[in-house]
This record gives sequence, C-alpha cells and structure tokens, in this order.
Amino acid sequence: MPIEKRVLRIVSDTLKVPETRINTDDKLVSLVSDSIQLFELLIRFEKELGETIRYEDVAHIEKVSDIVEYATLRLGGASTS
Amino acid sequence: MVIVVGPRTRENSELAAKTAIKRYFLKNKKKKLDFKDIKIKKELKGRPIFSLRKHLKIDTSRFSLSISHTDRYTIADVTSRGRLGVDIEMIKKFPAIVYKSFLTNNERKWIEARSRSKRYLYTTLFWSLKEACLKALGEGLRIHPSKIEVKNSGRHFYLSNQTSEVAQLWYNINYRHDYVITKVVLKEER
Repeated sequence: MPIEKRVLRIVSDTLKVPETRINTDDKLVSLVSDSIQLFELLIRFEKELGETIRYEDVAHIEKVSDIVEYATLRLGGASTS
Repeated sequence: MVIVVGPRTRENSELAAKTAIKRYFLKNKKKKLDFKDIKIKKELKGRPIFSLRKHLKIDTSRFSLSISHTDRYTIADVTSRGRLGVDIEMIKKFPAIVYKSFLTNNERKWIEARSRSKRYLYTTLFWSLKEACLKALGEGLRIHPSKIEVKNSGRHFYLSNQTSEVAQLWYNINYRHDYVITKVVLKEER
C-alpha cells in the first residue's frame, strides 16, 4: 500500500473520520479534538509505519503531508503494508 | 486560576487569559488593567505570551501564561515565579494504546494497585500532570510524556523529570463535574 494511503488510513482510523475528509495539507492539531487524541495519532504513526519511524521526529511534524514525506524518506519508498 | 465556562473558542481563550492577567496585576502589583491594554499572542512553538500597552511600561517577558481547554471549560493562569503549565481534562477511560504508552512501568503498577473505580481518575490525573509539565517546558507533546514520571510520596504527588526543577505542583479533582485541573511551575534555568 502506498505510504500516503497508509498515513491517511491511520489518521482516519484514529480520528474515526472518512479518509475522503482528510486533506494532506491539514495540520495534525486542527484534526484532533484534544492532546490525548494527538498523542494517540503520533504513537500510531510510530508503531504502524515501521521500525525506523521515531516518536521524537513525528512529534515535531505539523501537517499530514509532512508525515508522508518523512515516512517516505525513512522507509525509502517502501510500499508494503 | 481563571475558569471560563463555555465552548472551546478563541474568544473564550482570550477571555480566560486576559482575566487571569488582570487579576494577577491587581492582586500582585495593585495595578488595574483594562482588557484593551492586554494583547495575547503565540510563540513559534504555540506557547501563549502577552504584551501590555507601551504607556504602561511593563516588561512582560518575565511572566509566564498558560491556557488549557476541554469542550466545556477554558482555564488560564499567569505567574512570574517560573515557567507555567496548566491543564484541564475530563476524567475518562483512555484508549489502550495511549494508556500503555504514556505511563511508565512504575506509574502503571501504582494505578493498577488502586480500586477499579479510581483507575480512570488517576490515569487522567497523571496525564494532566505530565501535560502541564510539558507545557511549562514549552515543548508540549514534542517530548514523549513517559519521559516525565509522576511519583507518590504517600500523601502527595510529585514529578521527576531530567531537565527542570519543579517550583510548584498543584492539582484539583472536581468529582461533581468529573474533571481534573493541574498546574506546574518550573524554576527558570540559570
């Protein structure tokens, strides 16, 4: 599965919103309802995208598109689920 | 500490923050401010700061302001004693993945030794104390909450973190409305 799709799926599953309502330009803080949900999103990125994804890195990321870019860089374009 | 009851809006944030600043200056500096004297801004990392109209000739850089929200309440406080973080959270069950990740092993053991009815309360309180501390550090969730440990001395809770000394830790549990409020002041680094 392409990385962008995997990122959108994590956001969608965590926030319980359809993927079609998530824009890659959205800021993570504007998508979540509180800090607990933001933390859940960050640890899901870390746990579900692969071993090379680090919490300290994703926690500094602002937009969904930045997560996609960071994950693509770390995973070297890998597209397995 | 000021609590505004109402939805989570920018207006309520400003109202809480400006009221906290007005109260602080009236109580500690015997100075009466108007709302229009106060401007609330945000630093690059999202931390709230404030300035006062130039004619008042007050340097606000040594004050620390903190704001927190739930769906129904906004709280704000200000201090000159150090770096401030406040937090308000509704008492609730946390998602399992969050519960397992934000607590240290020691904290989890402590919470799981409590009665079942108190576990949600203490999970929320521990989250809130960590969140207030992370806000005081100026980093928020950019630092993993498990890097800070909540400890219990038998009578009181205290925080252990590697970076700063805690000058003040305060919390309030409102059982009637099911929320906790926490406040952490960290000593300024020398």
